[in-house]
Amino acid sequence: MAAETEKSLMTRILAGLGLTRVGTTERKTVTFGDGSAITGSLFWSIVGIVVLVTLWVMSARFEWTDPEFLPGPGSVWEKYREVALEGYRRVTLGEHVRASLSRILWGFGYGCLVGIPLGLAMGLSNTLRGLFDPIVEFFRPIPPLAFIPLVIIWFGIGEESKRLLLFLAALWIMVIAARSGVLGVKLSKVHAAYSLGSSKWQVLRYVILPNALPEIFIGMRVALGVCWGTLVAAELLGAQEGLGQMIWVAQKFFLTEIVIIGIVLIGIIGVAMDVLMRVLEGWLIPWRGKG
Amino acid sequence: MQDKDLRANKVGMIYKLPDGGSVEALKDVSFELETGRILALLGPSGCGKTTLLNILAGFLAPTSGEATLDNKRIQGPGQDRGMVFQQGALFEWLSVAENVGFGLNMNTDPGEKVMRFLRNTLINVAYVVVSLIVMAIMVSLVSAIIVNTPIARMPLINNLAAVYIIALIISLAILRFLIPPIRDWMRANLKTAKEKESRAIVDGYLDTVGLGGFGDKAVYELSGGMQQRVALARCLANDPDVILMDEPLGALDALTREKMQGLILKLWKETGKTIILVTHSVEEALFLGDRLFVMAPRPGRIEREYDLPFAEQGLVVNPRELKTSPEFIEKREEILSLIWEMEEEIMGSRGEVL
Repeated sequence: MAAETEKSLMTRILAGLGLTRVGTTERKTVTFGDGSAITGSLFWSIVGIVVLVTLWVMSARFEWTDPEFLPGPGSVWEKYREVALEGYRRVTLGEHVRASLSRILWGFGYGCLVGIPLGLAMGLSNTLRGLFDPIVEFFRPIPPLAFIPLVIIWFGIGEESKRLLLFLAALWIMVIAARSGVLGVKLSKVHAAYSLGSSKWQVLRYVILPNALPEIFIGMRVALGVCWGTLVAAELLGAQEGLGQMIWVAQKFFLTEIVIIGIVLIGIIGVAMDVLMRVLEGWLIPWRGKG
Repeated sequence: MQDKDLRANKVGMIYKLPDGGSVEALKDVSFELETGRILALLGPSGCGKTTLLNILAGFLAPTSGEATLDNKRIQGPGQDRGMVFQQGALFEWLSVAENVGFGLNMNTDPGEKVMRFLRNTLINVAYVVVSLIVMAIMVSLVSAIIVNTPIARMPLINNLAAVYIIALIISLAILRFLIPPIRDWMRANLKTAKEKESRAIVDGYLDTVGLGGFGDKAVYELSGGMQQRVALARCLANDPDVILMDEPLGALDALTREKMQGLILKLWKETGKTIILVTHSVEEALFLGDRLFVMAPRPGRIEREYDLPFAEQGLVVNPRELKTSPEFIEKREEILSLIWEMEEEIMGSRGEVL
């Protein structure tokens, strides 16, 4: 009995690390090519990270690379303490992060506020679809960065131009997500609602909107990611604060440690935002993909 | 005879194709259906059954002729004609009870709307207040704990922000468990009189279709057969004069299908509603149809009409016995060969084109 529980504990640990197959895939004989049987392995994920970090440590320790090009973890950590507590060029890391985040929230927020109603309208009205379709389809494939020169001419290098750039990055994605959310509504659901006595407004409020919500949410996740990616370049336009600005300035002075700190922070915040959106998605739209 | 009769008067429907041609989906379809009859529409694909149903429902306007209910011309969808679709067409973001009560909540008077708005505002304010209290407690707790630990001296990007973020994450985790019971309590106890009334109606119809006690489940948690029962209940709750069913059992497995046929018969008898049922299955059409139209394609028309005794008998006789009785089998063979002839005709004409 005891041996059995121990065995099951062992199996559970192995399963947790992804070293044995569990559940429905356990008895599958064909796994090479069966995507559903490939779930990844925590153990090998850890190995991957450990190897990467070890290589970094060793390259610094044995000076395989010039510390100017790739400083070791120790000196990056030292610099991190300094930047976090005292700041780089009198601006602390917290203020850089806050500046970047507030730009993102502004651009992304207004992108949603304008893009979602516009996309819904384009899915509901022939006139509005005709009116905006060529505009949206034309601007959509243009990378937001291509607008930088124009934005500088119009708004200078102030805060507005950065926010406008992020707004443009989010806008088209949200328009298209909302539009395809509306177009994806099953006709029978709309018919059912009308048969049950709904008015047009009620069909929009109680059928089309909830039906489009999963796609709008996916759009929001994508838009947030794209905004975050655009930010670093947007902050090139000259700024006092911001993670992107910090690493650009640091690069000019060859402060590789600060560049690395900035890149790692941008990565961590990007992942955190995506995780947050996925958690919200699970809470707010549990019916996703179950229609 | 009665006043709620459904009539079709020379209904014709011609679809225009993008290449300039046209398809005559229905030609001169006329019939009169008395209140309380159950009519089955049967025919090969392309015979216009679904088009006819959509015209009766008001989703399509015929190109000629007219359909009337209660001597009033059908001009659009309305609450007097309920529809049951092949795949339920349920609203998966609503609970079972909310789905069934959907129609009941569509015609609320302004006073009721104000009451509900105030109630919802109250609930939202309660959420915010509870959330703020929990967050305030967490922020003070987290900062009190962190102050005396090495974390306070760690070079975090911003120690104050870190306290807020940690407190926020803990608060969200707590609220995740705290909010649902509060919400459920308020939803159960802060109902307007109209809502209590409609919930009672909804529960009644859920009992009727054998889903008593499933009201608070999510729609996607139910099986296909149960979802179709919800669709039936949703339609019944609106108390329509006519129920239109577009292959309602088409997506179900054979066993569930037989059970549901019994349910439809039972509901038909209990509620006395007029029902029109489109189906592909000859057996189903014979068993459920107290009248039966066999339709033919190109142009879509009513080829033959039957008055059948099986639906009435199905309520007293065992359905199994009924379906194997000589009369039933005889009729089934007759109609099957009729449909086969039409199918061969279609294939033949296609052969000529090729």
